[in-house]
Amino acid sequence: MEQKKRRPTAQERRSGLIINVLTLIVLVLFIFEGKSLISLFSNESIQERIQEEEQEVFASANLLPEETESEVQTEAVQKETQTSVAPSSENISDQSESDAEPETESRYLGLPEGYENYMTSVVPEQSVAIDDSYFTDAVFIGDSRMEGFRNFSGITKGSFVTAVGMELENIYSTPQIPTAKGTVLVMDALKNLNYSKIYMMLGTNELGAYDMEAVKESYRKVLNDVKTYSSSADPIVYVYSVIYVDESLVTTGDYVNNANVDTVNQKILEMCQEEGYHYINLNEILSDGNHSLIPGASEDGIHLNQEYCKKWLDYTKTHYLPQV
Amino acid sequence: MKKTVTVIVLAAMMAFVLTACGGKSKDITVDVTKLCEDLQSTVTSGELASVSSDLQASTYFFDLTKVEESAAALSSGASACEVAVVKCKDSSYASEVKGLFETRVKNQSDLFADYNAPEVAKLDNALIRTSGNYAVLCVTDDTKKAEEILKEAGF
Repeated sequence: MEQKKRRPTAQERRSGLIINVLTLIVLVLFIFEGKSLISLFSNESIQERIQEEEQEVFASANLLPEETESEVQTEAVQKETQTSVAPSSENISDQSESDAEPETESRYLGLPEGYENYMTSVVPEQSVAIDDSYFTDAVFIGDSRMEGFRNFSGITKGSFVTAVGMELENIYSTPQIPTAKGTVLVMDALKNLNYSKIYMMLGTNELGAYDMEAVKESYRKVLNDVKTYSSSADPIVYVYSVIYVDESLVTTGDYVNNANVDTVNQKILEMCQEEGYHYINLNEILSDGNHSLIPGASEDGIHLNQEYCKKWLDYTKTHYLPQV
Repeated sequence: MKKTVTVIVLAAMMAFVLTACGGKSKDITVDVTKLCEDLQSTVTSGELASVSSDLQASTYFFDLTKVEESAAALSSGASACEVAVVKCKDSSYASEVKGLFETRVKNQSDLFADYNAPEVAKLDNALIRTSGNYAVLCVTDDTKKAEEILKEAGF
């Protein structure tokens, strides 16, 4: 027997309608507010999320609440302190000192041991950078690293007496400075120049020397002779530190290492102190903080690439003796 | 009669060959900067940087008053690679520049021989070319490719 269908009552129809409407709402919520629903199940509390969204809105309108702004500032200061303190640990034995004056400490970065006694010879940073015209009466003397500086830094003034392989030992014996007619000795090249500032960088090709004291004496003699050809009776003598190397890339010999760089720099620093010369500590910006060249600063571990030669020039422009 | 014809044909052939040999004096037009960049792309052993005309003059000892246009790229000191392309105001100065390039290569060979001997091989294979008012120096890792570039440019 076929059962006759019962018509739903008015109450059942209302309940059915409510269920359908609710299902529709849930579906709409699920589709359009899925993100919110998901966040309900995430670990993040709703309050945190509301705060985050508030910050986003305030920040975009540049109306960051005071409390949030100070938090951001504190974070930035913390980051700054971390960066300036970390590298200074390279040479500073007393950690509490470096914590106290992190900004000053970076000046000591890359200096050899015992630097405390020679700080009067280390050229400090000046607040105003000089322009290239300062180098009009300057001569830059040095080896292939200095030649790279000439080619890559973008410097526009100054005379360059540079040669690949220049050493303190061969400076008097090997004609190596190119002219239109061939090569001449360094001192002969200097005779034809007018200069009252001397920028010198030698020492990399001496890293294999057995007697660093002898290197120091050779450097002293060479600089003394370079001064005699100056057009000034009292030329300013700047001596660049020997730049660290990236030992992992160096293929020219084991002796080209950073321990030897520190040793030769110590001797150069001593000479500067004794002679009244001015030591430009390039390793302040070229050291990785562990007595080594910053990774990526050189393709062969010795000669700086263009980016770092430009930094070298910038450093030179802010490290000079203010003229009285 | 047959002898006369042979002589004439031989003379014509000689004239043709000699004209071909003199092909290098033909007038060519080169984009100096582009050629310098193209040749620079054959250097694989390190970075080269373009340098100012003053720096070029102090490196190669050009007389800038006799140079119309020039471009050069030099190395960090790590390698002997370098490129220079010079357009002179006349072809006779281009020949002089060629001589300056030869001197430069010799100086560099002497220096690198004591310092970094493997670089001397590159200097031994240095390409020095002139054509019309142009002179080119290229010390590179890939001489063959550089030669092709120069040939295409008319050198």
